[in-house]
Amino acid sequence: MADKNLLLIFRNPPFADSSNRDTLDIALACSAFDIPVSLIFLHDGILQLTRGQQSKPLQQKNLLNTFNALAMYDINQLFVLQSDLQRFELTTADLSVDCQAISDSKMAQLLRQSDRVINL
Amino acid sequence: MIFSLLIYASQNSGQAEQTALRFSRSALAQGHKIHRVFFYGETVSALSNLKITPRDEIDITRQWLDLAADDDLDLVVCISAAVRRGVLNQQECDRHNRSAANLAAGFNLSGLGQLADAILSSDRLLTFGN
Amino acid sequence: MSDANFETLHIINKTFSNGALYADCCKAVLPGDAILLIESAVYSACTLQATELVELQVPLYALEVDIQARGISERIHSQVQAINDDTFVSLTCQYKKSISWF
Repeated sequence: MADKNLLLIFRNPPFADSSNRDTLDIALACSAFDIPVSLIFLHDGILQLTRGQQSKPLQQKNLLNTFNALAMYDINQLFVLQSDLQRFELTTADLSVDCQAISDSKMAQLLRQSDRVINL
Repeated sequence: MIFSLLIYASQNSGQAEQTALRFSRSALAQGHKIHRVFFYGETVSALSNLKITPRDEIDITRQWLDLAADDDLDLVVCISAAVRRGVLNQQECDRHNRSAANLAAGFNLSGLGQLADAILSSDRLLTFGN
Repeated sequence: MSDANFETLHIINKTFSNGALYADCCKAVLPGDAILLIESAVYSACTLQATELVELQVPLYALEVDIQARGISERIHSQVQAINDDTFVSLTCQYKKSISWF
């Protein structure tokens, strides 16, 4: 394992821009370099994870397939905020990817414990 | 201190690249090292050598090259970001059978592994974006 | 090599109108961190706009060149320290890591 861990922040809703895909690609590349990678979804970022998305009519790739495949890359640490779940009237059962729901203060600790943070 | 920079910005909006350039100049002047500057996302669109900068505006790409010439900077452009935006080196031009290579000389196309390496090899990673 | 005494340098470059961005950043700030306002974010260093950031009780910095470019030197909150590019570099050395919010 590498001596530095990496936290990636997702803050944008699905289909809005390329930052979500670009951040995911960083996750996969860094994992291949044995860098321990965690993901956290803040604010609109959580909307990427909700069930029932059908991207076909938009002729866009659905990133959910990649999010669901992250375990194969040993990326198992996915976090959302309890406060964001409440904001959008969601529970973790509404998310199609396994995530840990954490408090705002736990999020601050997570950021502190991370050696590198990329927030596109 | 060894720095690496991740540039994730559009040259048409914001001043992220100008800030990154000033930061780089100051860091180098203070004797720090810049391991790599990694250009990602929309940033790479502006690295075409077909780009014409209006005479009364600053050509940022030129400024990166000037800095690189003075201080031997490793300017790496994400290959997947570049190819999808039509910014090709000769190798990619041949591979995809296109009419011309247009990546500005002085920049190198490579994969995201170069960003991972930059994370591992540097004391600090700074992101400049918009 | 790391001579860092402090934790995270949060670098913001958007105006205070980007509420979600500031909300997320402020949630993440802990004692030992600092906030650096650059580019359009230097407007958040103005007296009234800076109030919420001042309440976080961490060091606040803003890039002088961006303040001057916008002609707001006279309006900067007394708790915000204007810094030049060299100090920007020094800060990134003093803090273990930076997080950019844009």
